[in-house]
Amino acid sequence: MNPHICLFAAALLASATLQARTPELPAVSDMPAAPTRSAWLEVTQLPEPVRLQEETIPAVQPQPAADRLVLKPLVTDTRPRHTVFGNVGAETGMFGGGTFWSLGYTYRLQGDFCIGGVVQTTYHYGQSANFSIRLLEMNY
Amino acid sequence: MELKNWLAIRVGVGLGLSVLAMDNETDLVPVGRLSVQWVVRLGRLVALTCSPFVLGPSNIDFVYDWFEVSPLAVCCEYGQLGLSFRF
Repeated sequence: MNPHICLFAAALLASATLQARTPELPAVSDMPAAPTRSAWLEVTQLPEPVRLQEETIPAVQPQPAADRLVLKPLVTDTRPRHTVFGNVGAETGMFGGGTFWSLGYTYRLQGDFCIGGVVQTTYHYGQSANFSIRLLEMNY
Repeated sequence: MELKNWLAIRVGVGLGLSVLAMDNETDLVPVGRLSVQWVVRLGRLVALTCSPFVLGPSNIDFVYDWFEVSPLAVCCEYGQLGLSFRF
């Protein structure tokens, strides 16, 4: 069998393994909006039988977990759905090196599994530029 | 992988298709990608990304071009700096 095809198959297997590895966590964009403080007060002032049904809401804690998440400025433990990114740098490649810029977008389907695309323009030193579009499935 | 609240290292493998447009030819080739980046969080949405070593390869692409004499080529992106928005 062609070694390159073997390499391609191995990369595919590794990719699938990584995809299967992690359990799904909800993204921030999938969560329902955190109840505001006034909404919470409304809930707590409801008559007795309705309040008994809300067993999942902690009685002592004034703010639910989703609300604390919003308040923390650098919280990153969630997995976002969309990523937009841009890069500048230098690269080595098939046609010699050069500087490049690229713009990309990925959409996370499940777990770490994303699909996306990158457009990139590479300027060879003092020579012509080349343009490339990559459509990728990524495990981030 | 989260290291600190504001710092992470993002590692990924990918598979895909690449359309290369040179001045006189266009190629459609399969590409495999290995990506390693530092991520410096600037906020909940915005992050700065850069190469794992300041001048090291960040995105390593394995390009398989059928029409070349040696079809497997490796492209590395060095000294890369980027901005990413995740939401």
